[in-house]
Amino acid sequence: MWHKIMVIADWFGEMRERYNLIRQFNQSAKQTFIKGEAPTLLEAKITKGDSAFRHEFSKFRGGGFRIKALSGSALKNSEMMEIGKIIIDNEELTRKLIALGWDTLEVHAEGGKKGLKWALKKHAKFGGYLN
Amino acid sequence: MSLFSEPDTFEVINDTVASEGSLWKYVSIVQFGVIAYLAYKVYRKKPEIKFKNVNRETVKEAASKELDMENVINSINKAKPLFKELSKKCHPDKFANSDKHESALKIYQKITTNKRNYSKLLDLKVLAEEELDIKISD
Repeated sequence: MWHKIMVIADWFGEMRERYNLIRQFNQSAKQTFIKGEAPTLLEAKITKGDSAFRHEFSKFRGGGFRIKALSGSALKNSEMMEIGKIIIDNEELTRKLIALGWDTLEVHAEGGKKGLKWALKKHAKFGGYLN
Repeated sequence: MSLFSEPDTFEVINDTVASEGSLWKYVSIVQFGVIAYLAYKVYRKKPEIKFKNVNRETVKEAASKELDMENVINSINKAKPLFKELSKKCHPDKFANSDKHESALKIYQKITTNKRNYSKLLDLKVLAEEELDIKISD
């Protein structure tokens, strides 16, 4: 009984962490855009992700972490690639994304039709981190 | 009059039989669809699952770790020009015949490793200015 309550409490804790991460990203992106330091306003949101990239901790229909250009200048392919690489290169962030149930990193240009995606499990380096 | 009514009755019965037949045809199609879907679910290639041996506590620790999100956003917007500037100014070839060559080599390696981390690049900028005695613009 207590175990089940703990599991439910963990689930709610994870959901709060997921939305906190999204909110922090969006707030920082907004501040940078308002200050004029960024030419494009970026927005992070949760999507269903790619089922081929699923792993043990993947959230059902919530495995996609999408960064999308909301306004400002449209993102070029090279810029989308660079944003993806910055996220992937940040080991702590990648591990956190995986631990919170994300499996796909998506970077989309304005409009959301054109984009790139990465399988987070390929870039986790989880084994090295854990051992 | 009654002679004409008989064929009508037969026709009605025949229609009912025909409609029942078509109903069962649709039911069997739906059943076939359900069976095909279940067979697909059973036999499809399951996604590769990594992290089987990962400790639950370690995952929780990774999930609750505080992140500097401002650095992530700054890295997206400012890391590339700073990396270009640093790699140009601190290139070891610029210090080829001087006593600073060794430290330039070390700093350059660190710059290349952290090329997408803005806060670490800023630290390396300060280090390069101190150790290599150069001025790097913002």
